[in-house]
Amino acid sequence: MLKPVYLFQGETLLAHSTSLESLLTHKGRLMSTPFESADLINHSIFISTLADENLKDVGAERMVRKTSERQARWLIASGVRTWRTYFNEPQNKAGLFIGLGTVDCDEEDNPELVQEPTAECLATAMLEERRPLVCLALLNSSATSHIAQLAGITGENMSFSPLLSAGLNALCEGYFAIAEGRLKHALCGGGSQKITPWSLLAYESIWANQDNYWLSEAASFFIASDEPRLNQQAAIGVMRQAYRARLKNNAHALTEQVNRITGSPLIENQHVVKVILVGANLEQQDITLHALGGELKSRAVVLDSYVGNTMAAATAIACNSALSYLQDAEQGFVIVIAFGDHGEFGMFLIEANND
Amino acid sequence: MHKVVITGIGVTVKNHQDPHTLFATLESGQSLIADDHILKEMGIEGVASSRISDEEVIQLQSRYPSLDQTRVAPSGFAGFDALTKSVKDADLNPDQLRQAGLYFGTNKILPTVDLVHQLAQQKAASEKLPYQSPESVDYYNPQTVVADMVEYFEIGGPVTSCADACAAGASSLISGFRQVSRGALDIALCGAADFGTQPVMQLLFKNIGALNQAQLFNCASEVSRPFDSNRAGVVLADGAAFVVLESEASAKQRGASIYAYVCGAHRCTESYKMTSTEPSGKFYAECMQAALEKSCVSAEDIDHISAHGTSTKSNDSAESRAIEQVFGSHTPVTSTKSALGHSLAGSGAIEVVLSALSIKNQVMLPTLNFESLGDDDAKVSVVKSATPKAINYLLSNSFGFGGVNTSIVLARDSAC
Repeated sequence: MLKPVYLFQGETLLAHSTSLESLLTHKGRLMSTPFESADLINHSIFISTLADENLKDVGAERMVRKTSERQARWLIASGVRTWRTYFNEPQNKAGLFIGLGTVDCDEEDNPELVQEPTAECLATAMLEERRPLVCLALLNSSATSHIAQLAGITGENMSFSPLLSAGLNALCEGYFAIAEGRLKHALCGGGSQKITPWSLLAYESIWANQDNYWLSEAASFFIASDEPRLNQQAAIGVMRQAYRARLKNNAHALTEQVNRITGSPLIENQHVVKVILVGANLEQQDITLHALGGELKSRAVVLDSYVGNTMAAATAIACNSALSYLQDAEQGFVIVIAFGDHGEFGMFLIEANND
Repeated sequence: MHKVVITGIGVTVKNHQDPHTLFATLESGQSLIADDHILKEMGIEGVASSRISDEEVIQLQSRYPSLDQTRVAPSGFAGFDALTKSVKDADLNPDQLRQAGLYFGTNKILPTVDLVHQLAQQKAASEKLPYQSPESVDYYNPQTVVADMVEYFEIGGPVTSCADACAAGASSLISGFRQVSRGALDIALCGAADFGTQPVMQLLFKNIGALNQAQLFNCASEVSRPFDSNRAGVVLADGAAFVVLESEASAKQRGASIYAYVCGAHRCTESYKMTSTEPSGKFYAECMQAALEKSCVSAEDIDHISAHGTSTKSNDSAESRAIEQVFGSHTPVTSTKSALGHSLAGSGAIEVVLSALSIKNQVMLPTLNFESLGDDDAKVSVVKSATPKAINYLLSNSFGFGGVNTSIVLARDSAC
């Protein structure tokens, strides 16, 4: 028997200090600018970029700052701040589930150290001129490790990379860890890949079929727990169901999946506050909205139109958005439909918490 | 909860593309470790590794012409190869694959020496674009091959790419195990691939002082010596492995051969240090203890331990202490990294394959080069040579850089 999973809103970092709340209430708008390197793939791409985090407010030691780089620092800052909103002390059976970008190869990675095109010169540059701890910034697990240390999380953790489906999988794993009783609390979230010429090329196959694509740097976290209240604060939502699948024949399979959601006995005769679509390409949006039909379609929100493609942060932003809608509605359900990069598909039913 | 079994295995490491042959090689006490010629060409002497050669990579590439060599890196080919063999070994049909999930652990594909030079030259010349084409960048995305795996095998279930450093292989298996265990899937294809001998990877390890010092030993095959008092750093390796996890009911219904049962597993975070584990081994011990509890077995039930055993001072010392805390001094421990080296993300999956074969064959594999424990090590019983033993339960450890710990309990029969 799966336990209910209570959700507590966390921090979402967006460009220009834009608040998620202001976007959802149409009081603000996330600014973007053309990305000049987009001519690499002959596309028009707009970007919203995040400011760096110095991590001093979360008490990170110098070592943490030295072994992390920009996109890891977004995760560390927003993850630790979210955790500390609800927990002042280390918790038993607490876990960490993150979707994150990679730092595989970066044009900022000091190749100028290599003065001559010889293997010996490379070895010298890497072994003698580069500070050893810089190498740790390349590891995906560095950010996870730093967050775990700063938050005092010693339970299960898992990190996924690099894009949309990473955040989707992180949420699914976190949900089941709580629902199946392996953990009491989980910090769930994700951060986008930083936008560079490298990342643009690396994921060109994903952007290639889009016109006027909008990429947005972001990080977002929330807390999942088996307790309805944490540190005097009541959970805004309860996740009643999480479901993950893979879409083969896109149109037919997607329609089937949407019908499965709308036909769920959990939401039968219940008020559906919003249906949030995240990570869907234009074709997937059309199919989903058509399949939702009528009233549900009128309540659909295409989150990417507010925040851009936030990659591995997207699913967590969708969950935080769902909690925002439920806070205002006080009852009913929000359905989150999340899409991955290669046909991955996730669906989450979040109900307003009445406990 | 549903019982979970292993019905297919596949492995790809240096000179070996078959798990049974690899097991026989290790059983006979042979090592796959040799001097690293690539680093020698870079002017770095005295480094041992277990490298899949260029010739072997070419063979892999020719075996799978549907994969684009310009997009898929060698580790991707190795992973695809291991997956293909495990699917064949389990004798899965297309309908079963369409319902299966894919759980892939991977790490990094770092730039080649040539690319780093190219970047340097372009940057020095202030050229605007540091990269040539999208295809050339795809190659460095370790998840690129996942799309090929999904399309080739028409995998219809959930697909994840896990990035939990050296524990990624074991972590992937744990995710797949849980899906099958709770009945969400009948079949999960779980594995990992990593090329730890990439020159830039080896330089990174050397830079932080974790790479082996082969010059201290007579020959390269003596360098990896987990738990031994003279151990002197990790030997990096290339490798990939996959296991087919299946519900016992599904396996029995279709008459599949069963290598072993997966009883339970645990995955946790240390929250200690980025670069080393807590020296007393308490986090390792907690992980193993939790895996035992989840498997409903006691420490006394475990007949054999497949250790993470990297041959570094700090890991092996902490792991020996953890094993002593949980199991005492008598449970036989082995580390196959003594012969295979450490294939990082790939290692946990490879070790589960070998553990399953240890159970199937009722043989413990040796820890090569082990002579005596170090002063800082707890007293554990290290297996020096291949030894027949009744193995009903086996525990396999994988501990990742940054503090991601995993322990998995396998069993011979369905009692678990």
